[in-house]
Amino acid sequence: MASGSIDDKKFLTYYFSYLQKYLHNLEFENLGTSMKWIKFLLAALITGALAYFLTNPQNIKGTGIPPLGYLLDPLQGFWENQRDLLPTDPQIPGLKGEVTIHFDSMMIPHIYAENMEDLFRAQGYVVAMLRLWQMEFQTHAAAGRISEIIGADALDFDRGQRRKGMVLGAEATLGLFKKDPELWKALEAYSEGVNAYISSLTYATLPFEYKLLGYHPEPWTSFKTALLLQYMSDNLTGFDQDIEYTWMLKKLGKEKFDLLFPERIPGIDPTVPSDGPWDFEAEEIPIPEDIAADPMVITKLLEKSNPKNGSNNWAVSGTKTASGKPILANDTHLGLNLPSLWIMMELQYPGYHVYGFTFTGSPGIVIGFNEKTAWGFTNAPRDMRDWYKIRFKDDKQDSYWYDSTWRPVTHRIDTFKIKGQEAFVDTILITHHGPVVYDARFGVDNPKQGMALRWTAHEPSRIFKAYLNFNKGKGLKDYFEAIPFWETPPQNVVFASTEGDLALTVAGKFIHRWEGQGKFVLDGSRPDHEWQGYISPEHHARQVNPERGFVSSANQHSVDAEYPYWFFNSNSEYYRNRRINRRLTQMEGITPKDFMKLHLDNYSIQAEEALPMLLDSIKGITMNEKEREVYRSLTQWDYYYEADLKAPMYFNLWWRNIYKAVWDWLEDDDNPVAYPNTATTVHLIKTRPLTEFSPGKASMTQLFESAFREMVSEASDDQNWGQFKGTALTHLSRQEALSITNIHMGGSSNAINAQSKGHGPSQRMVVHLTEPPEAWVVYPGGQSGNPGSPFYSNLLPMYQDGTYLNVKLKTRENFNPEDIFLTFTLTPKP
Amino acid sequence: MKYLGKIVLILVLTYVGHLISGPFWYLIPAGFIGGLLIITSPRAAFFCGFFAVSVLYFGTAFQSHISYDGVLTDRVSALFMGLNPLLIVLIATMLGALTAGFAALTGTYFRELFIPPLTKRQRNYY
Repeated sequence: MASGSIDDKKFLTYYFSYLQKYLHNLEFENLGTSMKWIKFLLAALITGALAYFLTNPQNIKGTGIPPLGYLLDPLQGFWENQRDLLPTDPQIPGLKGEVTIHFDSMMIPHIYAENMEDLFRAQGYVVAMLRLWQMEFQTHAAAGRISEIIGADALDFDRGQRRKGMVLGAEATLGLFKKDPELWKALEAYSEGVNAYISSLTYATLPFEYKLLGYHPEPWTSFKTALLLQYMSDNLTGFDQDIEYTWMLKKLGKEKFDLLFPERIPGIDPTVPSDGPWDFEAEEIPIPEDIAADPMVITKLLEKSNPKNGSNNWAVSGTKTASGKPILANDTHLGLNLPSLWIMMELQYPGYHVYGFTFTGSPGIVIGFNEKTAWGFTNAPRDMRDWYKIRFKDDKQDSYWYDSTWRPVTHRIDTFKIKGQEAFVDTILITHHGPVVYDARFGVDNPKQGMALRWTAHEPSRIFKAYLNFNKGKGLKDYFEAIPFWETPPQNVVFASTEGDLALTVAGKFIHRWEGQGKFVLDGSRPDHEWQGYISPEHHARQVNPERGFVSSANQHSVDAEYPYWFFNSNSEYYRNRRINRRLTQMEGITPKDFMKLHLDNYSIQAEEALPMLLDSIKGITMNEKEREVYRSLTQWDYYYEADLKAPMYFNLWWRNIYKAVWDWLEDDDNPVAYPNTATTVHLIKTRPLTEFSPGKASMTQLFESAFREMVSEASDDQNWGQFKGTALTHLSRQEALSITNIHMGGSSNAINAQSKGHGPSQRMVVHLTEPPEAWVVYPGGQSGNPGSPFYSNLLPMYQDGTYLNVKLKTRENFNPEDIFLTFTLTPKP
Repeated sequence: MKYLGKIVLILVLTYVGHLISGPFWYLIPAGFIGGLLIITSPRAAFFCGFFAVSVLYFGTAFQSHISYDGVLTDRVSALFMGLNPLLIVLIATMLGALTAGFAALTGTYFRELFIPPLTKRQRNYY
């Protein structure tokens, strides 16, 4: 066995050396090849995973991150947007003649064309070049498509937009556009221009926000222009309190409701005051017995447009000016955003030469002047929306009760694309009143109930035609020919001409209502609750060359009670308008400079009317040192909301506390509430005992006193009014990093300079109607929508200081070469 | 010299890729081709790709940040939880550099599937 074991050892040695050789071969021949593949595949996999991670949106702890590889790429990502991405070889297909575009030192385009279509092609092109993201975002918002961009957070907003009929309204308007060959040509040319710019884009030249949010622009269409109009109509007519008022009526009873929510209070100064009886009568409509439906529980109410959306405008005749020529002024108060709502430009083709402010998405100039005339707008608020309570036959919601029969419901299936998620499908029920906004799918528990909306913004509007005609107008006659086309949103259209004429028309598609109609929710089953027609444009309130030498408007009541039609608006302005009229009455020998100063007027009639009474009532109370100091500063205050003062902050806080204390008894956790407005509150305090409108309160003096002490304790020692108010220009995406906050400015929503936190004059214009006219313009923002451009907010310092750009109409030839920042010369391609 | 050649080649390919193609993706063919054509060890290939794109990206991003006074880098950094803008420059550089590095590595391994790698001696000789 011993020798055997030696043999075994030999065998084992032999065996191991064989194994070694075998393994060696394996490594170099077979295993070697596998390793190579593994290494290659591993490297490829890591490269692929990195690429996938960097070119797809990520979600880190609920925060959406755009594709970082694209966004951060130094050669093509956001870095490229740190400068103005100006096309080196601009091209617009379809041009018939040569187009010259001079951009001046403020990046304002001056477009010179040989015909209308070329002009609007070029306008579409430059507006897209400067503001593409904004123009698309606004129309996406109107169409309820924000979830496509930012995800499910916007779904309720989007559903609300479509349920309230934004798309329906835009479709109706598009239908009307198509029937007007001249307007259709202008709109289609504009779209072609926008699309010429869009198709020239590469990822590198895409606007910053597309890179940040990780999506791409789609082609522009005239439908988007209709959506833009819908967006503006919603901004300006999208506020009503019908649902709230219906609950308040039930809670308070008619007498108390009328006390708290009067249609008029003494001392109002309507836009068009009656100077004697009107020369027409309104057709009588019988008032139904029940003017309101029973309130209905809605668990999810849509947000309404900002009730502060409004404006100032006025014009004075030559009798009141130093030059003997009229001067017109306009400033429109809207949400202060970046990019600014407005963009400025000059447009010219033979027979058409106009300069002013326009929307990003529609042809022509909205507010501005030409060689002979100037015009501007303020919102003419009136109740434009009514809610109809709908009773469905059963849970299927196929029919609803109307005029003692069951009428069929149209079901419109709407799909909502959502970023990063599956699409959502909603059904919108449509009745002959309009779309059912609230139903079992949205805010209502009872499947047999619904609330339909009827709104003038569901109907087509020809305002583009109206202002394109203002653009071309030569005088008063042209102005009045264009006015009937001004439908929705209704506006006070101010006008002045070099011939010396002034005019103001309360223009729009106004509902002819029976007295009280639509103040509360209406009954959708009753024919007598339906709209009975519209007020004929000949019956619109207007003023032409009035004796007082001026016309003005500031969203107050359009007319007084003498006007033959019933007027109702839940949101009238009470203070700015009276300040304007007071100043215009006093002023003589006016120069444009005086009006520029008047735009910056921070005087508040609200403070003038409320503060003396408040100070008087707490005169005798014992005060500590700080309270005495605050009291003293308030007694010395002259009611000007200047940024550097503290008194306006004290007054605002004090008034807020009083208002809360007076109306806290109306608070209701279960049902919607409307609160009386400030002017009514002041009026009631002055004329009625407190117990009549605020039960359970001890006395007025005590209420003022505790509100005063509370104010003193909460008022900051180191803030003045400007800091306290903190005006901001908020980027449309709501990202603070792209916004400008804490802008130090005076003003108040009750002053002509209507500045509040995120709201205020979104442009200012003064036009002197000399021959040719001269204008002064400014707005809080800049011509470029690119946050990386020097033109993003370069006009803000001027706006803040109350200075203006002085502008005149220029021709292609007489353009001062020193003012030219950039010129595009576009020629037709064979 | 060889490394320098490789770096320059990847750098040039990256830039050309950027000029003729869409965003970001151009890094991958640039790195891959660079890794494939000039023979180095896999490790060197990775670093050449990484270095080439680092130089290009850092140079471009930093120059852009400085010459436009950080007008957007400041805003983007505020959006990214308030990171320092220079960190955004570095992150952008790193993301591109890593991608190009791995693409170059992949290119080299791809080559080695068909052509045996040179021995250390041979590599030094080249």
